[in-house]
Amino acid sequence: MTDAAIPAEDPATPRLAVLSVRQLTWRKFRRNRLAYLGLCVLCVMYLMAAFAPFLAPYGVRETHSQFARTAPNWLHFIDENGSFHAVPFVYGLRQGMDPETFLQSTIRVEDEKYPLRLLPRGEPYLLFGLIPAERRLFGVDAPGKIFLFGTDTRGRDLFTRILYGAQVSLTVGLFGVILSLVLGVGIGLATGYYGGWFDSITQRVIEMTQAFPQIPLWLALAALIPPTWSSIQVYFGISIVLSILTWGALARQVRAMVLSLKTSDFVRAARYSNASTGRIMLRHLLPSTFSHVLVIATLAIPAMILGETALSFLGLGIKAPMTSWGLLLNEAQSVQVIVETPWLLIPVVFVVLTIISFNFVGDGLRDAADPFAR
Amino acid sequence: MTLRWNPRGALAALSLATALLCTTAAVAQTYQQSPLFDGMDLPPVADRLPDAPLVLEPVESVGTYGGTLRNVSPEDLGWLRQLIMVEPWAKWERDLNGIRPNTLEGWTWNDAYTEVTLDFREGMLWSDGAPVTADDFMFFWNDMVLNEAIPVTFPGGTVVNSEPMTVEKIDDFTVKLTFSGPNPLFMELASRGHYNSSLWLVPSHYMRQFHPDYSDVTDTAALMAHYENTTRLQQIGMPTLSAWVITDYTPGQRIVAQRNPYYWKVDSAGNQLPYIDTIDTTLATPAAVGQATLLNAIGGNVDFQPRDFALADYSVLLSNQEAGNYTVKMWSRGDFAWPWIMIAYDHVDQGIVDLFYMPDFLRALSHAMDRNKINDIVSFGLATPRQFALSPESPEFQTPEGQALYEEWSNSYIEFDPALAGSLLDGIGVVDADGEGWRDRPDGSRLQLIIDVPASSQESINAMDLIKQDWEAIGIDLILNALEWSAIDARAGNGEMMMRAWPSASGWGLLSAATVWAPIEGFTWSMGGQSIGRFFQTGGVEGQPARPGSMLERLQEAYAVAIGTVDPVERDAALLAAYRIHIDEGPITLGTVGEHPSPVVVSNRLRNVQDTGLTGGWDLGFPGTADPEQFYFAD
Amino acid sequence: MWVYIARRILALIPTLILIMLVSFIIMQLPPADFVDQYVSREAARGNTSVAGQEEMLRQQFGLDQSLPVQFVSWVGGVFTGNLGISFTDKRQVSEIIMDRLPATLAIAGMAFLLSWGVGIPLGVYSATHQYRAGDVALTGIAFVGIGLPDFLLALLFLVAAFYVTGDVLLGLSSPEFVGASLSWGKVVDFMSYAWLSVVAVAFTGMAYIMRVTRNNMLEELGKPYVMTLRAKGLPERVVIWRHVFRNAINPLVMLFGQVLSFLINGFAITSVVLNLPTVQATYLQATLLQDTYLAGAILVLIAMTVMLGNLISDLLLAWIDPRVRYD
Repeated sequence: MTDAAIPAEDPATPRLAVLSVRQLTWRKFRRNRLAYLGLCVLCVMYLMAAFAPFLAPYGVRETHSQFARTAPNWLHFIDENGSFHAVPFVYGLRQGMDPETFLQSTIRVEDEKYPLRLLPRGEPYLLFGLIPAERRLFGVDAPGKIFLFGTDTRGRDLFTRILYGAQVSLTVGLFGVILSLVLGVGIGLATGYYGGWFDSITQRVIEMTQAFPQIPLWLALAALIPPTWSSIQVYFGISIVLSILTWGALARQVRAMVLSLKTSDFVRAARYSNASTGRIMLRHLLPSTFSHVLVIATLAIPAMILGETALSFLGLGIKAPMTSWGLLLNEAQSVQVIVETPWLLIPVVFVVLTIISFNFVGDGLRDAADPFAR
Repeated sequence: MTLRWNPRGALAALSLATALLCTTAAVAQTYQQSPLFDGMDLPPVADRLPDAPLVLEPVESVGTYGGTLRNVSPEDLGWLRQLIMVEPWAKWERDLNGIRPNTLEGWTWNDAYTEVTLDFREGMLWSDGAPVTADDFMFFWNDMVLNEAIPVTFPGGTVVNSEPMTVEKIDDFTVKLTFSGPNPLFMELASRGHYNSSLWLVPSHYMRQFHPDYSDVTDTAALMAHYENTTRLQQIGMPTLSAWVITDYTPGQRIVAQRNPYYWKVDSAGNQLPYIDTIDTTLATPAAVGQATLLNAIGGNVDFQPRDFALADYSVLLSNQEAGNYTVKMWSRGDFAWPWIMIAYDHVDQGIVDLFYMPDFLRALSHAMDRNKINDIVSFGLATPRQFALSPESPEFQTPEGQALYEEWSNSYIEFDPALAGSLLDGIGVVDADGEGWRDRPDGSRLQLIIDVPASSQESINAMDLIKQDWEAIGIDLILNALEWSAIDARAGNGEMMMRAWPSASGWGLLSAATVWAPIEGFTWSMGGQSIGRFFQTGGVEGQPARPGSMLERLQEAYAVAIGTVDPVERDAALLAAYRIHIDEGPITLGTVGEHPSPVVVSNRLRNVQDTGLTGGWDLGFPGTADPEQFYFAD
Repeated sequence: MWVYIARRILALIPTLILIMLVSFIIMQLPPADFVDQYVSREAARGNTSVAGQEEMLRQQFGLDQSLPVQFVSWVGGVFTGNLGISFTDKRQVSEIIMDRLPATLAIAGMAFLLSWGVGIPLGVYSATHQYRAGDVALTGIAFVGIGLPDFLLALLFLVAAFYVTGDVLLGLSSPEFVGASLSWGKVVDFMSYAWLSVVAVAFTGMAYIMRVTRNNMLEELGKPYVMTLRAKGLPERVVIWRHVFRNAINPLVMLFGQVLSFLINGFAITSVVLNLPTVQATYLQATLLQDTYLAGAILVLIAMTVMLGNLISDLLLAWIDPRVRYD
């Protein structure tokens, strides 16, 4: 595609702006409100993940042993007498156990109020893993507790865990998907275009990876991984293996599209003008498959997050002390949680929001890049 | 009370009891049977019962016939076998203090405890009407155990000093066993769980058709399927001595058992047991069994559910008692630790083993643990912080000295004192030599502890994570290695394992010696180190020895003394002396918290279920020991 | 074309053997085998009588032979119809699979029909009414379906159904119908349980199908020929379904090939969580317990369904899209 033609200088007509394709695409994207909203949400999520230790009132491994299974302890502006406080506060908490049912319940102590503090000192941490820091965005003085989303069965603040979980879920999954994309699109294009025995062999290889016995593979890997690897290293390894196993589906779909496009006019024209195969694939075939690939990519990211949940379920995924959204979802997987501590299902909201946002962004990108979009 | 069995007194009591029974029998004891059998083509109930049926005193009251007991079990039928299949020669008492005759009418030891004569019940019949005789046991011993072509080995307790016992048939209902050395605990060992002596009386008239020597079969697969405890229950059509006989089995979904018309127990009023007609069990996969038990319990769909609840479910269960029309009876699990940390003294890295042999090292680790926090977070505050020691219900603790020693042992080194821990480590040279933040070995090299944790036990993982934080606070670098169970066992076998978190266990004196207090067996669950245990078990042929003069070696010696002591009082004293080594030179294994309660869900319609008791480990055969054959529905 | 089909089917066999070889190797990788696990499990229960029996047990199960011998005899067995014996309950593997197949196919089949049968029309509707209220609502529901793991969804449904109806909908029949022969009552009872798993499983699938259909449709709808068709005066229904839809379904056709293996290998964790007597639940259990012949046989079945599924979708693609040619 060429740049927009520069109109001849004519003092009567106002000079028009010159925009590149990329800028045009961006403009179109911005006009799509949902997509733009999705992008904003994603930015917020990633910022959240990057600044997680700063935003979280507590450390990720901090357990409040007196307050396990506590319902959310919110900020209030208006107290029990109806008077307004400019600085919001949380009530004090007292943990009790019902002797009959062993049910731990938390009672709000209305006499104790702990006002919100901005930038208090807390447990030291490393921002971005590099910069030592001590202050957090907000908190309350001890012994007050600010549990915005409640605590889990081990007494850890859920809000904190969701923030730290974002760090793992939002980044490592992306890595695997990108790898899968590169493999899938590259090989799909090649096999679709060349056909012949190369295509046959590749199809059989794909079949093998799809029919692969995944669970025995995970079990074998789990037994072979040395215990000294950190959880992150393990997860990177898992996402690499996952993407090696899943690029086949994408490759087959790209191949299907290439097969139908192979005989179309513009491809033939390119061939007759002596375009190299690489050029044909990159500049002609790839853009036609691009929108579909984008859609698949945006749908693959939830698959990665959920794949991690399934692995956690089988005991093979991210483990303590790391947190991820998949692990949080897994911990919510029990009847007792649904019945007694339903606030532990809040991570679901974050997962769904992220997925919606990725999808809207993908939709918007596809619409913006598509020359024929309405 | 305890494992005491005074031979002369027992003989006298037995004679008296027999005389009384015969007298009552002579006064034309009439027996009643379930109305289900009326009109069926069966011999009269008096003929179906043995000459001297076992008389069970009901827990509350004589019951009425009828009803179906519903429950949920994992699909491997684990504890269900303890409900239906627990018919050993002698069963543990309801309060788990001692054993009482079950399928045997009685037994007599000689003074040296090297010979025991077993008396079978005359007239006892299998569930298909064939008589039970000593021949059934002789078939098992001669044609299955001693026959090298059949893969059945010498059961636990039958081998003394590496020699198996000899079996002699005296008459159709009497058998004499002779051991090469004193074996006073033989009957207790035989009475464990639903395996051991529950399996030794086989219906020889039925089994012959699967035995290569008596029929045309070419392999032992069918025979083993009918013998082994993991598959025996599912063999429909096999004669049994249990109160209920399996009639329907759909793998993974459901198993149904109906009353046994030839059951050989009666209640105190002469009613043939069991009262309940049918046991209907829904099966579930291990991942679904948690939902299945909880939802079915609060929905009122189970009548007796003694296991398969998670600690986290207790409050849900207790809050729904009225809605589900059931009562939760809080029994004690008898767990002495959940989890506990087993130390492998046969680890390949001798530097680490050196540290393990230093009492102050493990004491420091023990004092660094915040057990109250573990209790609050992992056990919801329901357990008790304690050191690793046997269960308080163990027989040798039932005297004042035993009690005192137990208190001392279970409270040793459990104060949460990081400062003390740090100073203990400083004292043995485990300090941060290179300044990188972790304590190093006395010689300056890197110290890194690795503990293997079973990936399937979430409580253990959570507890170990808390412990890891506690130890990090005093500068000890611990790595959690969550693995599948058998992978851990493999590491234990070749010395790669350093430490291991074991989810839960309960134990009795000598029965659980290997797991708890002395390295005397070469198996993965043996404390102290598998190779060290194997060394003792094989008499020095395999494995590696404990360090000479060390507490492990002295524990092995103490065990050898205790196992051969015939007099129960002396034996208890020997055991207490052995435990003293743990107190003075330990902790040899680290404990965290224990003695959790165990909920038993009982429908409000079900009677004769004890209110309190010990669920204990599998060894003790619960819930068989609660005598489910006398449960009844009061409708 | 027939030559092509014949070639593909012939190529199945060496591929299958290769898969079996790789799987066999992978299954042998964990350091402990079935006998070790069995002994560990029993020991954890206090049954120490089997410890020390490993050699004899291995002989019983045929695990004492060298690995190549085991592999060759396994492959030979599979191709002659002898799938071996399950170590855990000592039954014939073929019997176990046949027991579970009807329920598996019923649930998976219904879920497939529901998710595709509802997902495709909803996807088309969503595309033709882009960004209007209906589309946004459907999109929202779709995201919930894609965002939640299907086993969590199943658990939520289970608890909700319990509190509303009081029934515990685990498994596929009430106790009294288990093992009973087919009857009208049994079918009704089956449906009263099955709806839970079918809806939970179909929900996720439907969401996915809906999204893919919507996106493909949107892409086609933007093409100039649509404007031409409309200008010609064709009714919208014909434009959408006879022309646009036909062009948009290529990727769906590729997905269709996966349906066959979904029947046997989909929703495994949901099966286990809801205690469904399906083949995939057995597969999970068998793999975790290292019940090699049982796991291996189901694995062969899965591999076959994957390969056949791919063949079917390739053929369908050629049938539907005249531009596709196979050499």
